Amino acid sequence: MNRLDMLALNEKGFAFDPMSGESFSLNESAVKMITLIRKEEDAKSIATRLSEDFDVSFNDAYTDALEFMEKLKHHGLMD
Amino acid sequence: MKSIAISGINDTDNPGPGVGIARSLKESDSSFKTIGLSYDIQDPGNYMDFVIDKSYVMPYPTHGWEGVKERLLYIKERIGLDMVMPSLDAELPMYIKYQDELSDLGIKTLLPTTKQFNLRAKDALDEVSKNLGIIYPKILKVASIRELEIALKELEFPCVVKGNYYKAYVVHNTAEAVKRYSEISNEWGFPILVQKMVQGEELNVVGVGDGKGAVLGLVAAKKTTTTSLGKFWNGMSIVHPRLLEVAREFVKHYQWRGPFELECMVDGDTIYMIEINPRFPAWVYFATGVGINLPERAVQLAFDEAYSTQSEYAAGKMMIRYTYEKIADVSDLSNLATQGESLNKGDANE
Repeated sequence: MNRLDMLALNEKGFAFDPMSGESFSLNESAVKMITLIRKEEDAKSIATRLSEDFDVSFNDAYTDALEFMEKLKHHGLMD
Repeated sequence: MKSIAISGINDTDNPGPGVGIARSLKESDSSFKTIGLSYDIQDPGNYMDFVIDKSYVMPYPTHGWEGVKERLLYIKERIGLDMVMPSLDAELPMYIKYQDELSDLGIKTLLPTTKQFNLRAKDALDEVSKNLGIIYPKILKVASIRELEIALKELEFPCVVKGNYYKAYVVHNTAEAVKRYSEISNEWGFPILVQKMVQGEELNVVGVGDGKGAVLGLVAAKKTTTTSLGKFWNGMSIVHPRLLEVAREFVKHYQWRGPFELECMVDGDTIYMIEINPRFPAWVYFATGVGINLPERAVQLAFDEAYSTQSEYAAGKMMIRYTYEKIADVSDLSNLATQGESLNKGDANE
């Protein structure tokens, strides 16, 4: 199991990493992105879903998805 | 009923492990008689009769073994003493050296050997770390300001200035380093150690080894709040498989006997050794609180009784320390000062 799958995440956007003890507060779109990444969807697919659900352009959503994935990598939650 | 003596009952903002050990034993079996061994009549544990049944003022270990032995035999004769669990760094070498003599006197211990104890020396940790497949950040011994300056140049800022046994400070410039060097050396003497700073989270593991390579239990935690001395105040239980594996390997490789704590910095899967403490840490009750009662298992092992080795616990449990006011009577203080022991329960104000 990778660390993103191990992340405890509730519906209010509170996430807890049981390996490091770190906790994070996530907004609705971040929760959505983690849910989609766990389903192994790529950045383009995530951007499409975000642009549908949050009324943003595909390009903005795509940039956000890439930045978010970088943050997850920075925290060691994604390879 | 077993009578267990426990030291380190200084439950202050720089807490010893004693009260956590006593509380764990009481929760295991309320018939345990817990005996506090104190070096200061104002140690809060002397007055916490809800976890420590009776306490005795001890001679300092620096005054020699005979005084300590005499005191333990006095306690044994007066109220019974089946086991002693020393938990302060300064007294451990003596108890380790004389553990066989204590056994002959009918007082059990669960301690490492002298050879195992020496593994925690700062100059042994590099080899220990290599054997465990982890990293020990570079450390330099200094005994003068000139040597300190050379070390600071080599290691660069920020780095850590620490005593051989106690105190550690992160320093960011030479003035700060010299101030800490003076503070620590004035209080604890030489050498002073200067260590390279490493990135990561400070994660600790508490455990007990059976002396044959197996662990009785392990719990890992992250310090979420520390005191001004860097002591564990609030914490979060974590399950870091690699860190727990390192702790198991430590026990297996060195056939560790007794309680221990590994203090590590962890950056992903990269683990840096900071310290090995050959005793329970002050946060030992946290392990009990998440279902792994290590003091209970240590006593069971010492008495050749069956014990659990179950080590499954939940991540995300929090340990919250708080301060609390206990009101005692001057007669409590008086008895400790004049008789060297706490009053028996219910004797105050009589």
